[in-house]
Amino acid sequence: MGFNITGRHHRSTVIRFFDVIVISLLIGLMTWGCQTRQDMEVPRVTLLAWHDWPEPQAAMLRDLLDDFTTIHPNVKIVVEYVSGKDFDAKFLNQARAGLAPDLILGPELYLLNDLIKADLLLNLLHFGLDGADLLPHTVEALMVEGKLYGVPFAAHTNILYYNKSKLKATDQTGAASPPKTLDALLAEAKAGRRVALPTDFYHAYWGIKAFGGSMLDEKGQFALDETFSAWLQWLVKAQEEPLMILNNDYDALFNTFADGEAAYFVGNSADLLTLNERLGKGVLGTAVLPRGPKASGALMDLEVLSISKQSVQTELCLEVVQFLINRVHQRKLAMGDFGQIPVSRSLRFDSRLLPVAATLSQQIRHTSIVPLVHARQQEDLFTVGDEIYLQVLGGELEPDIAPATALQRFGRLVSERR
Amino acid sequence: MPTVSEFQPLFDVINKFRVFLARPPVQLQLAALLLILVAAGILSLLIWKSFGPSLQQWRDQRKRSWLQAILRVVIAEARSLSFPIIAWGFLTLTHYIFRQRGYLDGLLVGFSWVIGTLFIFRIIVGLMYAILDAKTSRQYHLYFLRPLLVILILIELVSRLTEVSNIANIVLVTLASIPLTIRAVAIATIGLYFWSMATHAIEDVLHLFATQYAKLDSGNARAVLTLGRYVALALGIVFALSQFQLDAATVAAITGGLSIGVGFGLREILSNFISGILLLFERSLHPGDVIDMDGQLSVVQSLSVPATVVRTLNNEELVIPNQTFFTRQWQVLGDFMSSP
Repeated sequence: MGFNITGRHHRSTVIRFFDVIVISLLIGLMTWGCQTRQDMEVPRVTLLAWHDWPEPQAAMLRDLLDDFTTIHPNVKIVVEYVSGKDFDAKFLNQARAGLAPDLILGPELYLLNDLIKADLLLNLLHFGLDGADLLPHTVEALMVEGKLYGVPFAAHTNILYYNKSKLKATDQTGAASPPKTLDALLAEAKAGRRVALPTDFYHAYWGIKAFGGSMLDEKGQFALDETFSAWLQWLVKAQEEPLMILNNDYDALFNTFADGEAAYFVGNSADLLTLNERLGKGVLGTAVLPRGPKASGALMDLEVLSISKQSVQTELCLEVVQFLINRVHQRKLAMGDFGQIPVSRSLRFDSRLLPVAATLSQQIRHTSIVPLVHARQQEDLFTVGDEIYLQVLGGELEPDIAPATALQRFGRLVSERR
Repeated sequence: MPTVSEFQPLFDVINKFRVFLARPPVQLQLAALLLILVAAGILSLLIWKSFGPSLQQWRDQRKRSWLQAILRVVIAEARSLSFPIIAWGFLTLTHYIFRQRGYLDGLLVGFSWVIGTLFIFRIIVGLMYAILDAKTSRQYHLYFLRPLLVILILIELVSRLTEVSNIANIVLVTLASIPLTIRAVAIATIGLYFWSMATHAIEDVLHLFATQYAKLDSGNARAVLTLGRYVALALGIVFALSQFQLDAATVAAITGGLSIGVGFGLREILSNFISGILLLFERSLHPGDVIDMDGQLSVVQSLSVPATVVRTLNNEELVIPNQTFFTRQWQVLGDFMSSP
């Protein structure tokens, strides 16, 4: 009974053996990892890539990367899903230990800002990356102080979804087509077809553009002018129509349309797959957003490819990026019908063969992107904008004074944050 | 048979190891950690080689037995904790140097968790050696606490590289349409092993407290605790089996098969088990009792649920299955321990 201070158990053979095993394992692993692998018969290089794409989009991404590894059999790419909400926190945490991934794809732009601020991403500008085929405004949006921390790979934006069965059922002539103008959209509601219009700032931005507005002024500052008033006035008028459902709850409107209770819905292209599944084969139609005095253009979200500064395989990562943004793989991306829009400017799609890809490709040319440098402030603008829409449509605020009120509140919010 | 792609999460962990180990900041941190471990190990050994014997001598010179007992615990803990404390000191110093030089230090920060766990582990080990006898303590140390520590550290390391659930959900093999995942197999084998060891340890500690502090009868206490341990063990087995998600038909088939097995092969074991429980509860036999069985005299050494250990006059140790006490004639001649 009792503890023996001479502690023979501490020097037992078993324990020593165990310690030797653990230390040998550590040394072995280090030596294995440190060698250049050129001494091996088949040199193998491994890359770690993170993305936040859900299935089945993720499967397509893996397919694209598999194409790369087929061409480069010495390369292995470990692809991991990391949820968008954990992306930057996890990246920052891993990077602190030197365990950041080599490549990342798809975090929200404002999350990318955190990684840039922490000096964790590679400036791609001087690596001879050929981005000539990419839509110029998508690349420009990613420039920060003359540096490029990511290249666009795909995008998604808002489009007009319609229910083909509903259109056919209520059309006497048999030549029903989705409305091309705001007035035509209103006429559809008058003709008995329910229209679901989300009125949160992000999803309703397309109307400002339809009246000639722009997200930023010449100085690159957020701008809301009389075009915002004109759009709000149109919405106030539109909400008088009983079949025009205006609501700031995007998900509720989404479900209304997905349940077949509305003929039209302005929704995000990222929802294409889900809507197709919910409505059934051949029912969902897509069209560009109805124009006003000018062409409509929604806000665009970019899926960005970035390379970690911690990667020791920079050249290889650049090869992967170049591979993913080339025309062939951008086309493959569009063919997936997941609502991911390619950002290649030379791609053209025949609307008779690929109607969805053609619509998306057409819509993306009129979109607005909030530059990376403004990505954080954009969230504040959305918060203020959401309130303004609610007040105007609730009759608490006149559309005429809405732009000035919004900018004033936005300025206050930004200065409070500072 | 599972395909290569089903084991992909496991290969991915290995591949990620390779990605990270090729990075100089990771190599630097791992080299520093290795150095810390080796230096702390050597220093702790040197300290105890130099001061251990004199401390022991000083302790033994104390006249009061209670002081000796306290010093025994204190010195045991100090010795047990010297390695993690020295390692923690080196780790803090290295961490400071890394921060000053602007090196990446995430692995060092993560390793402080390992040192912390080791610290707690050593406290438990130290206490165990101070409370239980050396042989029992050594068993629990080597076959329970140490493997448990290694597994905890391994899980922590893997969780740094991937979601542990990705590995745990890998299907090893599909038997009769039941997918056996790594999680299920690990719970049913390693988990059950640790559960069994834990129930043993709890039984021993409770028995010690019951007999030495609460002054309860050793036989009764052992009987209740043993029964409790078997119940806990049965619950553990039920939980482990539930991991295989067996349906009612499969359970019926297995239990049907088992009942035949019990009927033929395990009958003796069950009989001994029940006899052991009865012996312990009835208190008809105690350690130290001199018994006469079939004309052979022996002294009871210890009682357990399946068997009783006795020592004969020829100094031979015999293990008697407990059912023997219900099928053959025997009598207690006296208590050897209380004999003048």
